[in-house]
Amino acid sequence: MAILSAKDLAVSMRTPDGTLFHPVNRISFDVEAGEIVCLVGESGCGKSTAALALMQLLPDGAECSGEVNFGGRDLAKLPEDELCQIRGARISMVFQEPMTALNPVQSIGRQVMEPILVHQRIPKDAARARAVELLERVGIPDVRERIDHFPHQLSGGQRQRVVIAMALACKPDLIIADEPTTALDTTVQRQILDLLVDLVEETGIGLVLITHNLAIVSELADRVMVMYAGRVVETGTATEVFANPKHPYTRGLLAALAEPGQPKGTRLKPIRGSVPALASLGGGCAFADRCDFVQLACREAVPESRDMGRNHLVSCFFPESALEWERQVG
Amino acid sequence: MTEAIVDTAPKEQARGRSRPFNLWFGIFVTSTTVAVALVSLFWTPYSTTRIDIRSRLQEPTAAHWLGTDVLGRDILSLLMVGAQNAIIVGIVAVLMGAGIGVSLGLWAAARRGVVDEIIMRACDLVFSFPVVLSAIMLATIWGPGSINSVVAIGFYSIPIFARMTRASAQVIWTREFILAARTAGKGQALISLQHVLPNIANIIVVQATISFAVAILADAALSYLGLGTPPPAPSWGRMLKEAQSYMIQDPYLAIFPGMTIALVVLGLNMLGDGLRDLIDPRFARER
Repeated sequence: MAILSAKDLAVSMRTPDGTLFHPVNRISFDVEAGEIVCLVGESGCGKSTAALALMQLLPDGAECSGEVNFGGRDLAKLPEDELCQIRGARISMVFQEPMTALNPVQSIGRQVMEPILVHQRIPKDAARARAVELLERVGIPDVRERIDHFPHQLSGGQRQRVVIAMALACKPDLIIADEPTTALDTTVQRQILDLLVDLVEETGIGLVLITHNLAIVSELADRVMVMYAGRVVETGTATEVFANPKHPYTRGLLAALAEPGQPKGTRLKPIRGSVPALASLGGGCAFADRCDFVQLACREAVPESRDMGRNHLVSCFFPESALEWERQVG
Repeated sequence: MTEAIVDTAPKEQARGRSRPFNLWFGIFVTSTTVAVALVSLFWTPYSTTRIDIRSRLQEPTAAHWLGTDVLGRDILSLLMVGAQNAIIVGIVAVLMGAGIGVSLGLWAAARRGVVDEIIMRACDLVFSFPVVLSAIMLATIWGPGSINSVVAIGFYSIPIFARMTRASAQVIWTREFILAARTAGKGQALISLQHVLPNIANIIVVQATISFAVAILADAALSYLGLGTPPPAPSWGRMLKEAQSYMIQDPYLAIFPGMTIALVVLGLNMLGDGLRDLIDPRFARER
């Protein structure tokens, strides 16, 4: 039983001159309890907007369509006051930049207590005790002393731990983490990811992890969704997608990775071109202009997703052509 | 290159000295005013209601340090008691302006759209009438009196606070921790109180000191026009007005109340300036 199930989720916005575009275009996915689903893609492909659409916290002027089924209800149809009862209590979020995600003039203990006080009718000292417990769980040292510190007195990694503690405060069913390690340095990234994985295993929460870091995905994800220009172009279990990437975009991303131990001077293979402006997308496949295997059909229609077996879905007209081409060359 | 360095060094030094001076001068003047007003509640050199025609219009003497007015009342005593009036006017006007104005500004920034538009246009409407004009209007409706002038001044400072609060709150609303608070399930009212207000409190405090000074000035102007505190309660503005007829005969009569108003307003402005420099991190780095 999936905790969250998004069906044909789409977001439409308008550019200042009125052109309609879709930062998120009909994506569907499920998140099971205790599962880590990774949303990967380049900057501007709609990952963060998809996350905000799940929370129903889109900016003004953005329209959301489709269903977000959570706990037997469609979040897209709930009124704001009922959404407030779900946000922070049942679904919570971890942000990219922990410095800006924390209120600079409130102590960290107070900020961890807040979601508890908002959602649960418990006295303040009980909430504070729970905050101490949470901060200890996420690995803040000397919690009793640190609890009254302000965000600027903490290091980046510790701040992100505080943000995670806030997200955990009401024991949610689902956490959406939007690039939680991008603003941190590499060693701290590892610690934060380990913490998230531990929490998922320990509590059975579902985790939607948004990232552009394929190394993280290959290591942590149960399932992967590769997004390009607002659409999910390839999805499947992490092992399957990494072993058998089918979409030329996914293959391009993997080929662009540096591998440890590759000979010095080896050039990485970038994907040529850059992400198209969403507002100027034509009728065809959004990746057509950058694809090495583009054919006439790709310019005429948007490929529907096709099941390649083992729940491996690919939105490409010619998922085999790249494979064959490589087989012939290599 | 060398010249530039030589050039900037003394300037920075001078600035570094002037900022704490603003603050300390402001604190000194403000606390003195408050202290004098408190003392005047229990003791003044002479009673302010005692008329002594024989010693009228005296220049400063050993008995009357700042001289006496046309009825022979001691100017120093009148100024001391007048401080009470000035402080009450300032406090009421600031409480009214900040209380209502900040709430309206927070509300406008949180709700945006129609609510924002209505509040801001209402502020424009209030702003389009000068404070003196609205005081005259209130005085014609309810008759002159200290309460009316205070209400008029307070009413006039509502849009100042509302606009300033809305502008700064809008900036805070775009910050990510607000989004984080929304993902934690907090509503607009809670976010406004817990996250927006504490982050703009410094600006409001500074505005309050400046509005306090403006209120004292406005009250002096209204008293001068006969719309403020009615006699016999002394007020700085009315003292100036009464002095006008005797400007040639006894200039001290105008000089001391005028100087008192100028000094207190200057002190409050410097306090506001000093507080802003103290709180604003952009200035803190230069200090």
